[in-house]
Amino acid sequence: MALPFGASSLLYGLGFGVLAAQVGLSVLEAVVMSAAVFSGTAQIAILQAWSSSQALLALFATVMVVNSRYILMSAALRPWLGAVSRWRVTAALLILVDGTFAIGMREKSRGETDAGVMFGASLISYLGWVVGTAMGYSVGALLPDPRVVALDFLVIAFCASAAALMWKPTLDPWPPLAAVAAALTVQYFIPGAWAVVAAGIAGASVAAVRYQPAEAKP
Amino acid sequence: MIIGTETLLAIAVMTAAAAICRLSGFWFMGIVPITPRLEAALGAIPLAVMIGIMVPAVMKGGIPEALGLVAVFVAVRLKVNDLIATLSGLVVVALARQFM
Repeated sequence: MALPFGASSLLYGLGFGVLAAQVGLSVLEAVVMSAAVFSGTAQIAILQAWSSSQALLALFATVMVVNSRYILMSAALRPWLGAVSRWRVTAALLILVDGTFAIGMREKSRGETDAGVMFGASLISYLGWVVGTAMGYSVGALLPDPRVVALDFLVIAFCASAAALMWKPTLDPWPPLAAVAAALTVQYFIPGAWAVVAAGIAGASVAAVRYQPAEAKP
Repeated sequence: MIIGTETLLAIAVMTAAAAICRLSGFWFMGIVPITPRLEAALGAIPLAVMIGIMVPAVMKGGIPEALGLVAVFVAVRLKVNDLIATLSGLVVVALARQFM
C-alpha cells in the first residue's frame, strides 16, 4: 500500500535529478540535497532559479513557506505520537510527507496506536526520492538537451497535476488568484525563488482574511 | 570540486528550514493554539505554492509551457491516470517546441 508512494516519489525524484543536472549541480550535491532536505516542491522551486551564490534568506524563506503545511501536520500528530519516545518521534517527523501523513491519520481513525505503518511508508517515500534523484541525474547528464524531449517540464507537469487534483468547484477562488497575481508581479520585478514565497504568503493571507466561521455564513 | 562550499551552505540552510517545519508543530502544539482561521490559511498554501512554481515557468518559457499546463489540467479533470496526465504535458511541450 505504501508502494504507490515509493513509485511516485521515485518519479518525482527523477524529475528533480534531471533538473539538478541541467542547472549544473554535481551528482553528489544533488543527492546530498535530496537526502538532507527531503522536500520535493521546495527543492524544485529553488533549483528553477538556481545560481551558485544564492541569497540564503530567500532559500530559507522558500523552504519555510513551501513546507509550512508540515507545521500543521506535525501539530496534528501530537495527540497520536505524544507517548512515543522523543527519538523515534523526531525520526518519524523528519521524513513526514503529505501522502504518509494521510496514511497516519487513517490508521489513527481506525484506532491503530502503532505509528509503524506511517513510518514505514515515509521511509519508502524517502528512499524513492533519494534513489530517483540519482537516477534522474544520470539521465539528465546523458541527454544532450533535455529540452528536446521536454524533460525540463516534468516537474512543472507534476505541479500541474497536483494543482488540478486540488482544484474543486467549491474552492474559494480568491486565494489561488492572489497567488497568481503575486507570482506574476514578483517574477516580473525580481526573478528567482521569491515568486514561490510571494504566492504562498498571498494565498495564505487571503484565505485567512476570507475565513468565515461556519455559523457566521448566511 | 565535487561539492561546492556555497552549495553546501545552501543545503544546510534548506535542511534547517525543512526540519524546523516538520518538528515545530509537534513541539509548539499547546503553546500556539491552531485556530480555524490559521488552519484555513495553512490549507490554502499547497495550491498557492504550485501556482508559484507554474507561473514563473510559463513566464520564462512561453506558449509551449502554457499549452503543456492546459494539457495536464484537462487530462487530470478527465480522470486520466495521474502519470499519463503528467506525461501528456511533456508530449505537448516537446511537440510545441518543434513548431515554435
